[in-house]
Amino acid sequence: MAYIAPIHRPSSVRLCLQSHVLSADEESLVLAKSNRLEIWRLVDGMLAMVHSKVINGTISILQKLRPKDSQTDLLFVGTQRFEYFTLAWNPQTSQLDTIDPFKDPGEHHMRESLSHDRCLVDPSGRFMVMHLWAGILTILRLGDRKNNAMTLDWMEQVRLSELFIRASTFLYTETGHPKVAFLYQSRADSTDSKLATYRLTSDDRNTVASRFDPDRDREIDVDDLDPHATMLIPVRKVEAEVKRHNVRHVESAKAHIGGLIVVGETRLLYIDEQTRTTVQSTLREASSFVAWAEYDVTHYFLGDDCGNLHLLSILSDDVVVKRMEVTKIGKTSRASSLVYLGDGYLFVGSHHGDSQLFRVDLFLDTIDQIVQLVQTLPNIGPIMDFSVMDMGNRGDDNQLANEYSSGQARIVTASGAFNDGSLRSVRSGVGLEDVGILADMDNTRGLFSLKSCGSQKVDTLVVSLLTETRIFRFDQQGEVEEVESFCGMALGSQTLLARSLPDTQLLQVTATAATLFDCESGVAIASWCPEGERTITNASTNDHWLLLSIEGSGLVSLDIPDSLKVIQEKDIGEQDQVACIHVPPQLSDIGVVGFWTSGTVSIIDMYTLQPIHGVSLRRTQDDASTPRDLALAQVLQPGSSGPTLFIALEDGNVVTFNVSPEMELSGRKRVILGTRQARFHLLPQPTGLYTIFATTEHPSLIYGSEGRIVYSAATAEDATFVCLFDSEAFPDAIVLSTDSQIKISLIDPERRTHVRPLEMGETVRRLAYSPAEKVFGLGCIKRDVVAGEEIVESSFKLVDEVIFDRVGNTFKLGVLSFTELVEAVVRAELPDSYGNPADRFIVGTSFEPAPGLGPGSNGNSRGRILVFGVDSDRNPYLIVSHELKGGVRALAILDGKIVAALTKTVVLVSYTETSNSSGTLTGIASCRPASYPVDVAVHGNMIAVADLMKSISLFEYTPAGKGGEPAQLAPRARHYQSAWSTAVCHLEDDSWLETDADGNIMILRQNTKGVTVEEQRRLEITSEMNLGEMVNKVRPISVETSPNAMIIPRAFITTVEGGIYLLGTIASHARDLLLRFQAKLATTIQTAGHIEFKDYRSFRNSEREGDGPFRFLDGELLERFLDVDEETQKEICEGLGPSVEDMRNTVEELRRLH
Amino acid sequence: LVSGGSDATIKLWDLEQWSGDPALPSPYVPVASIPRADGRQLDSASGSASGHRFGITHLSFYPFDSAAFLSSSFDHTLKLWSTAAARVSGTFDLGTKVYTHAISPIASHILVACGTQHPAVRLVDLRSSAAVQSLVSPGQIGGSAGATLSVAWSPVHEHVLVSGSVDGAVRIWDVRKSSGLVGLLDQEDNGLDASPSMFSESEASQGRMLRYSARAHTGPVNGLTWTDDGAYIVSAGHDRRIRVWDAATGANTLASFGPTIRNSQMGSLTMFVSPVGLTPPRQELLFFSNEAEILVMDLHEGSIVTRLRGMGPSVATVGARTVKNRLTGIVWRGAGGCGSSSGVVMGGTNAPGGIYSGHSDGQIRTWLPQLAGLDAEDEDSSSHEAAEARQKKRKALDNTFKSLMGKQITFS
Repeated sequence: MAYIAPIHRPSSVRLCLQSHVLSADEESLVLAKSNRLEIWRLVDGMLAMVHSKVINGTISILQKLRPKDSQTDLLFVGTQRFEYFTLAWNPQTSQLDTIDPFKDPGEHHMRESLSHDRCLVDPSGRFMVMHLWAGILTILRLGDRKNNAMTLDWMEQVRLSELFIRASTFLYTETGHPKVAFLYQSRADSTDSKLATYRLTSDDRNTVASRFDPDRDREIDVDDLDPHATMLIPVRKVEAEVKRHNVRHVESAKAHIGGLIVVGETRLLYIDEQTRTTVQSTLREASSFVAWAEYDVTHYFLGDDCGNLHLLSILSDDVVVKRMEVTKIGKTSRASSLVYLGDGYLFVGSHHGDSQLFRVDLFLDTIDQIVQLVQTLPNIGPIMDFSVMDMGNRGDDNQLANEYSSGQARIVTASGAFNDGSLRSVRSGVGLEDVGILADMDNTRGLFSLKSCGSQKVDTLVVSLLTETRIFRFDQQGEVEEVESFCGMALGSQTLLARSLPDTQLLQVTATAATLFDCESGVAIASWCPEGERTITNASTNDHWLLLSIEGSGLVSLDIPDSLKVIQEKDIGEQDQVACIHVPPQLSDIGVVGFWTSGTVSIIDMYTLQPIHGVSLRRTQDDASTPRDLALAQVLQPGSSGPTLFIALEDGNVVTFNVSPEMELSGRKRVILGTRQARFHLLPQPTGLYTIFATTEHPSLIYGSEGRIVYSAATAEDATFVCLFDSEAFPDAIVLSTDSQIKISLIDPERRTHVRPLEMGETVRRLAYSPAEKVFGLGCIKRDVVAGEEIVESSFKLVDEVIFDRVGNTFKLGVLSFTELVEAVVRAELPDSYGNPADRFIVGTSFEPAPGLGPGSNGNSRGRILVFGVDSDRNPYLIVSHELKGGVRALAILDGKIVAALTKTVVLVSYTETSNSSGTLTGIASCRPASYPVDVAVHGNMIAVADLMKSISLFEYTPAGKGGEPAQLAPRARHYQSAWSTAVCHLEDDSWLETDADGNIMILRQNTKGVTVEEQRRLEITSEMNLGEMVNKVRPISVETSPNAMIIPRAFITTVEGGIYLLGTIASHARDLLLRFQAKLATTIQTAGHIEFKDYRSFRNSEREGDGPFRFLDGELLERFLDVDEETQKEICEGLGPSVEDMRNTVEELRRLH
Repeated sequence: LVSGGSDATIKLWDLEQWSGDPALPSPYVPVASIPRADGRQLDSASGSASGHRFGITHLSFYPFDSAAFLSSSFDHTLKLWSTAAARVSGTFDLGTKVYTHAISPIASHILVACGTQHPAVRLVDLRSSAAVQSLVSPGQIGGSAGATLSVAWSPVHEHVLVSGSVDGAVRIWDVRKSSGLVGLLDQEDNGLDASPSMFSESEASQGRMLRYSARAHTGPVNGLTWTDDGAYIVSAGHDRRIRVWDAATGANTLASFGPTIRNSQMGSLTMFVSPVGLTPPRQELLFFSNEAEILVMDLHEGSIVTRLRGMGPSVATVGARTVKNRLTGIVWRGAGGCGSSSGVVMGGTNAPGGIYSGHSDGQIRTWLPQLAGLDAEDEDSSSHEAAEARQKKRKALDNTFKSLMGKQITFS
């Protein structure tokens, strides 16, 4: 039983396009990231996300269609499992509606097209071809008539004689009949490239598909193109001033604008679509182009494999094409697609690095200023490797780590490829960055920020202590001075409340009085004191109202603008006591009161102090929870939800309610933030929303995100009071008090998962973390193109964990006449020459014969194992280099010995250090997996070997016996199925986690309790699911959890698409409930394209297909429960057992895991 | 793996017994063995585990589940077995020697087509346990009629079957039709005269006249197979030819496999085409058992990719007899990569796939793909001591050899 939930959603952009999705007069950028569609809008030169849609499938196709007479586009989306649908924007609901879902089941004998799925739409936006299977073209069209204009009509699947298509495109035609061009090669192994164009249809009304007969139907047929041409660019037609006649007279025809460009690595070929006249230009510098975008008819952007941006210009004389020119204009991430957004904005969607927005001015003279980076959309994919480090208890291996959501665990990923390679530090929660420490002060009882007279921004801090109040003033440079007096405020006692009012007035509430001062003169304008010896115990205010609680038994409401006029007084009397009061900052004329004895909370009218609505917080008779703090504020976007009432209970729970405009309370939820009551601090945001800082032993920041309330851990463990302090010198800062200090801090704007990049400019292939040396060891591969030749170099480097930057020298790897590639880096604690444990980095490499240099390569690679130490200057130094006859694929450590997976053997090697700079590696035992090992994992004496094709097998290490029996690695169990595995990791007891290249996750258990030896030899699948993304690396974690936790986190998983997932096992008491809950959710929640959840998450490889996730919970789906309305929630919970509220709490709890 | 001998025994082998290390000797022991049945206790209800009485001609697993397999024998029977128990689940007496049988890898029906000494192709329905149908074509009875040596179901059309007989004809049947016969493969039909598609619903094909004298080979046809996508039919005959036919039109694609082909066995010959997806399109490999070697050829070009040889002495002694050592059957074991060959999916889980070949010397041989990388890759090549030790050893051996073999030259 396993549970998986995303920590970081896939961020790599594979597909993007620009389209009129939202409205006719606005073009939006549509991005496809793994299983999400995002719509972005260009506002003031910056991209902002408008909408995001989850799809039950990995998106492989994204196109736009334009129905007849429509002003907006349909989006066409296809998934990797051959499910297709069209989406249209519904302006009423602000949602994407599914129009037309269908599926192409294919045939088991149909061969998938050699490249990715390809889909083209003709310039009119109504004809579409899909290239899914080799040699087969699927043709679809949108209907002609009004009633079927939105539906896609499946015209035909035609057989093509062009089997190996490298590129294809529709052409711009004059006749209106769609034409399609194929760039193809004749055989799989040949490097010729040819071009053929066909009319898509054979009749005048475009209803019958053409036969695509190479002899009869081909229109343009060009051989002998650049052998590495991989791109076709269609060129629009331009009306010539002098119309050209007699186009059949080909000999004298000139190439006019309107046709297509075949882009090769060394030359470009322009072909006029009508006369078939060609113009050829050679490139100054060979490049392999990967993406293009049209600027205008004669200018095109080209992106190449190294991340260079080029401009292709067609030089023409009126409409006659003379030649083409390519100039390098800038550097970008390696583009997976380019989109020109108009107005000089170019978007680079990237899988290998960050996606970027550029401002382009083509008509500048200085080449290096043509493109300017405007915005970056961060992407942490593809994640090659990662390591988990714990900030809370670093350096101690035995201690259990903190949960990821605590913000204490940090995941450092090796992200990006080649030039876009980087290290990224990913952590959860809200980071607080300390700007400065104001003073050492014990027992703060309150913090308030004030504006001094005439100041625009906050510049004064009021610190309330038990017996006095102290005041600090800040000047514009941030210099602080403590003042003896401030506007006449009473400083001799504790201040319950201080607030600047709009018209240069100031309100102070102490235990004895509420006073209104004039800021300028410091004169008390108005004052109100409770009668007799009674004291004010609690106060809350907004700009209009002041609500006071008098010794818990009386309530007083005062009108502030009316000189603290008492509007109403109310004596609760004997039956109950006021525990807490709150005046919401946004809603007028109401207040909230919590009561001690009855444990109820009431919303009251400020004029009458009569309750409008009340709610009891106690669910059972003997429940003694009392409200201790309240907050009522607009946390979620006003459109989607009303304000939310937060109630902090004494036992650390926080209960929330949705508040309707009629002040009715609904949608009760309960969250545990700590063991004692939380204290709420409202922090207004520039957007008009509020976030709430809740201080308890695990402080949380409560804010709205994606339509729901998120409780995010904040990295301020001992905070007691917080107030916003948006001053001149410290914009957007907060002041925060702890038990001993007062600090000024900044809250990170990025709240959920912080990613901090460190650009490396090369692929970081492997990464290992040494807690003792406090460094990361990096195995890097650098690729350079020098004079048209690709040069690959490997190196070993160190990065400091705290400053998060390079330290020490780079150790270059490489041997003569081979290219040495880093394959594995691990850290191990090994005895040094004196027998003391020392942290060592072990690097495994393989040698690939350099082209044309290697001595007669017979397919056998070699490799070596290197052991590095770190010296006092934090430079890596080599201790041993041990050559092997096979390349090293993976490394692991078993009880101080090195497990090395070579090309086809797994060997166990012992390491002895003979001196500071020398040592030996001695083989102890070896074993053989079925084909090639890919990854190894060790638990105790068990070694799990992930095989390239044959899933995993377990080998047990038996040390050499006393009687002279040799040490051996004996096969113990294996998984009798085929799986192209990518990573393996130990999960718990006898369970192992395996991931494969088809995006499946499997949990395999060795049946050690099997009766027969045969049964014990088998690994059986206990859970399986398809993730839809290929997993590169899995690392185990051990986290301390409470005994009744439902999910026990076990491992982090990182994918090629930049996703990070948390995998956990499910406690036995929660299994049945959660599985039934998931099944109900899956049938109730509809997603775009109506693709069923069980189809999406079912195991699938070329051999076998499951019929749904098997004993696997998808956290992303479970959390969607919180997004649906209460009616649906009720429907889902029907017959499930627990109440809707319990289910909500359960899901909230799951959410808080990550 | 299930194997059947000419001594009427059937043996079941667990291929997972192998450790996966080619350096270790194979530990295979049959997990079950079905002995030859005694002639006297013929098919009595008590002897339900009774085997065949004469040599086994063909074996096949039930295509959807490896829990059952079929065997046919010279003793006129087709038997259905339960794999786990190694017991007979059903026996069908066809009254004539059964040379081969085939069961459709895709169909919802469970018809077993049997090629027998009788010219008609017999269909046995496993569901009703009855021989339901005989496929006979006009002109096949009497005349030049001969035994049917090979049958193969189409992997895409569930009712289409091809059969090859001693008269050199390859007949295509649709088992739904009363007459059955759809067409014959004609070696002279090279597809140039636009013949209509054989399986299209067009009127032309319905009304097309069959040329009953059409022959696919000039000798008996004893090998038939389809490519996995159903696009081609491959036939082999005693005329030492292998022909590749376009299944859509029935045209001979004129692939030429040259003069290396040997084929004289009276009885069905096994060959298969590599699964779709394993090779680039139109580069499928044909595995052909060519008397004493396995030929791997490009299906469309006919060029030899490799020959698998090395099967021990060419003449072997089996019991008291001396036989020429030749191949009796080959089977493919997929590796579970892209595409699985038609029939039951059985990926080689402890080995990167392979081919198993049966030989007339009574052995089954395993052929595995050679993996890149040296077998002793964990040895340290840079170590001087190891190199010295090796050199010393070699020198000593060399001296011994010289002292034994070298001629002593003496001067008198």
